[in-house]
Amino acid sequence: MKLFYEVIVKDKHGRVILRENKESRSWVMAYNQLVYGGMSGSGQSVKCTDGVSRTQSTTYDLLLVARPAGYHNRGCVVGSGNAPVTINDYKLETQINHGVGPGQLEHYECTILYPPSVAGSQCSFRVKRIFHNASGAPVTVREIGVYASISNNYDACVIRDVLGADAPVPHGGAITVIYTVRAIA
Amino acid sequence: MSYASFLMQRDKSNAQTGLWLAVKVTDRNGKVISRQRQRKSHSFVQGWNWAVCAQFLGQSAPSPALGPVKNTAGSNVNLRTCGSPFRCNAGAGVTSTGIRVGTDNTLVAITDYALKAPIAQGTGPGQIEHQAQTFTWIGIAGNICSFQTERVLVNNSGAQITVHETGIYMTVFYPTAGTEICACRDLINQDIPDGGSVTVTYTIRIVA
Repeated sequence: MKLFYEVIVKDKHGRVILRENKESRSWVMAYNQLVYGGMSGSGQSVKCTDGVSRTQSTTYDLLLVARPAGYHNRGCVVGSGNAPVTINDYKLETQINHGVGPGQLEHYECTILYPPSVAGSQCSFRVKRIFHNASGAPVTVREIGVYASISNNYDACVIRDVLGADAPVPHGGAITVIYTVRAIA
Repeated sequence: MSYASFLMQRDKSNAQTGLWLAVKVTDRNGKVISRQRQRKSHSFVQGWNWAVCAQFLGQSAPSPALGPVKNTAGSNVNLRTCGSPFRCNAGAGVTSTGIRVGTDNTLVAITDYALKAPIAQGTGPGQIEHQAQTFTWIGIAGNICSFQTERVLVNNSGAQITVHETGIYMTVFYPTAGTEICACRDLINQDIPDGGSVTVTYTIRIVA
């Protein structure tokens, strides 16, 4: 299974000022734990984004990613850190929170673009979120990822990537993050 | 060296994200007569991505509908977030979920929704006994995180059975019974003597 990301930065007029398409560096440990727990029915102790390890659900509320606007605890997330990705990452290095204050970005709804589509030997679906900068100053994004639920109340980082280049989002502009999850036969 | 350490060392030599497959055949005395060492699985098929998508979406009644996708019976179904997502911890004798084997050697396609000719549970002609599916959390070795799931299938049919295909069936729509999808499919080519067994081991691995 392959994972790709696309990052698009636009200015306040909607003009694209930066675009990056790459194969994602990685799923991280929590993803495999959550899948293992689901497949086996044996809940794993998963380190959540707050650094506390908790036992995952093996029933409902497992691996939820979709999230309404205004929440930065689940779905696509962005940050300003650039520490190299490791398999043990349990959060972004320095997450950018939702808001309009200095260094913040407004988190729009995180959507799942479905149903999965088949093209040739591939089957794909996408996860998308837009982050709008109303902070009054540029905000630079250097890392992206996906937080997913491990149970009803808690979330873990399942994907993390460090961008190939800094992505400065001007005031009034926005950054769109799209992950493509693809199975290839 | 512990089994987990052995698996970790072997994992380091196969540093690619994805699904891996190993197959072992034993005779009636337990002697290994054939072994396909761990190799990259041909692939997850579309059912896997549908299942992941359903969990990511997390809705009990998606609108628009998340489907249709074919279940292992070939019927079109719509998915939703599942009460036992990805579940394939099949007990002995269970064939609705877990690792299955079959006799067809049609090439793998992304649209495969079942084995082409799955072998039924039993001891009759052309049948095989499915043991309980097991799971081993391997953990982290360097920048790799992996786990294994394995099933032993015993041939007490009275004659040799030739297995050509294998795959994993899993639940995607609990609590609605009978809604399972095929997560992956691979071609293998193994003769299982009467009294012997085939062990299929899948490894799911992510590499940072």
